[in-house]
Amino acid sequence: MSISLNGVTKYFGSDLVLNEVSDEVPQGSLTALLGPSGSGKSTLLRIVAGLTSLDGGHVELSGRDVTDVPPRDRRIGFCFQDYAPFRHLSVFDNVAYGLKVQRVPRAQRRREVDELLRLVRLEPFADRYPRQLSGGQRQRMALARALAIRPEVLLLDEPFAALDAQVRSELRTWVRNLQRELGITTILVTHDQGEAMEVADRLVILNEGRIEQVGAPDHVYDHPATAFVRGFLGPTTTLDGVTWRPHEIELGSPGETGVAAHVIDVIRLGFEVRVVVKDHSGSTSWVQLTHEQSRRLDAQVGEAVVVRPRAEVFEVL
Amino acid sequence: MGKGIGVGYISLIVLIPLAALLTNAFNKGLVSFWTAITQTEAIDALRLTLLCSLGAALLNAVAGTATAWILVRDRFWGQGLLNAIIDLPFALPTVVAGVTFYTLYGPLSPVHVNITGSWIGITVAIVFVTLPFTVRSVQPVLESMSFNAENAAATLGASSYQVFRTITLPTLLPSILTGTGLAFARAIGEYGSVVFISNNLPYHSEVASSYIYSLATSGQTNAAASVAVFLLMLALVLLAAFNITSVQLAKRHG
Repeated sequence: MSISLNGVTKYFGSDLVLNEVSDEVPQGSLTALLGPSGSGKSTLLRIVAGLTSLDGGHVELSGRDVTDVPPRDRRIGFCFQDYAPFRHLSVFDNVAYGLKVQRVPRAQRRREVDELLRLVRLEPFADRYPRQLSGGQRQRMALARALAIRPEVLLLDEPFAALDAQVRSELRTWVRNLQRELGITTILVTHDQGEAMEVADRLVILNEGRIEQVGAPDHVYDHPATAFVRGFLGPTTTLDGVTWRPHEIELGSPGETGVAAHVIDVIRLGFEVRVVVKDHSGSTSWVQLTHEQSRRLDAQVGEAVVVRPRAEVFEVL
Repeated sequence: MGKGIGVGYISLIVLIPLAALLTNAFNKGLVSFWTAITQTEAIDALRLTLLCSLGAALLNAVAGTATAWILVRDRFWGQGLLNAIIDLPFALPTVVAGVTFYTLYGPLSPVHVNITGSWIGITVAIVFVTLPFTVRSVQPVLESMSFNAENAAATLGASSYQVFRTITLPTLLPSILTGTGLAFARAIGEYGSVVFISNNLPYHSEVASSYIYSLATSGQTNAAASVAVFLLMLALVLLAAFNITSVQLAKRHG
């Protein structure tokens, strides 16, 4: 099911949180709504689900205007940031909830819930209560619960924010694969650009209630439409008044072409090495090197160098 | 040091009077205790007290939850004032409440409603005194409750009524039980607010506290203490039952 947003506008009191947002989310895509906190991304997601009313514009699902349709009639699976478990119900009953209120017969309900629990690898935990689950398991329970109503759209609000690093990266991969397998149109809200780039096939970048840019992750990363997008999607550094990504510039020996500078710090972060340099005018930039590049270069603090854009970057430009 | 003061304080205020009461109740033996609590007048008074208290507690369970609901979930003019007024029955001397009810709903009622001398009058008085219990126990739970679980239920296809019955109410249930238990325990010992409106007709409209008072003032200390101890045991058992159920539910919810 495709989703189309037409001039969606929302005020909280006198604050304009969404300013005429329009977008077409294609059937089967995994779109990341990416933006800093306060950019309006969660509000937009809630508007798609019908959990928040809008002050202007309308929302269509596969061409049908659902602006005034209550959440219960939209068939949208929604996963909340805090997973919103039904604490008084077992894992099984949490997942079965949607089928129960829709009066699916008991035997069929049992079959479908068992299948979902298998899908999210929670079968051994069917009789447990949410408080007895880990964060990652609660997240998968919330996902199974949302999928139980066979939604045509899946909305995930900061789904990995509350998890520790390792579980987060495992679940990201798992959710991406599951989404591809089910082919369900999905919108994921995140403030983490790395997560958005890794999981989504489409980015919508929001800032202060407006869409800054829409596109495939690689495209947006390489061709940011605005200074905000460039700054938000990855680290930047300034060389001679021009903004670059730190891996787009390199170091050379004194006398070669480039901006003369000297090394003031070398920071080692595992496979990545950051060389901080200061040029003759006193402004600092940093260059991102791989471990291998750094070993070849062997930059020392205090050493004189030149800094220049990489040759391959010029070819692209 | 702190422990000593605490234990000493509790002993002085609660344990010593309790021991004296128990001694008084059983100093003429179990038979005398049994005779005192099985007098027809005693049974009638205890039954009336229990039924009126239960009715008042249940009424306040419903009305108190509804009141807590509008205080937390609604926004309206005068909300702050209403919130402040809830505690008034705790602050007001119960005798004042009793006299007020008597003048308002008694034989000289300006609105021509006379509920004195009946279980209705007694229940109304008890409802007034126990009003804050459920409101104040449910209110904080409702305040700390996230809307997300309710929203999740709505996206799964539940109607507002289904959301309330299957998600909201079970979440509030432990606090409703706690409030109702406290209200009930308070109600069975209520004297001041009830004594005027009930008319104290033996076998008919005499509550337990009033019966105990009449026994004590007519020199029947042993019988008075026996009925009092029995009332106390009932209160303890019921309070424990409410609390255990509430804790069990709360534990499961985590």
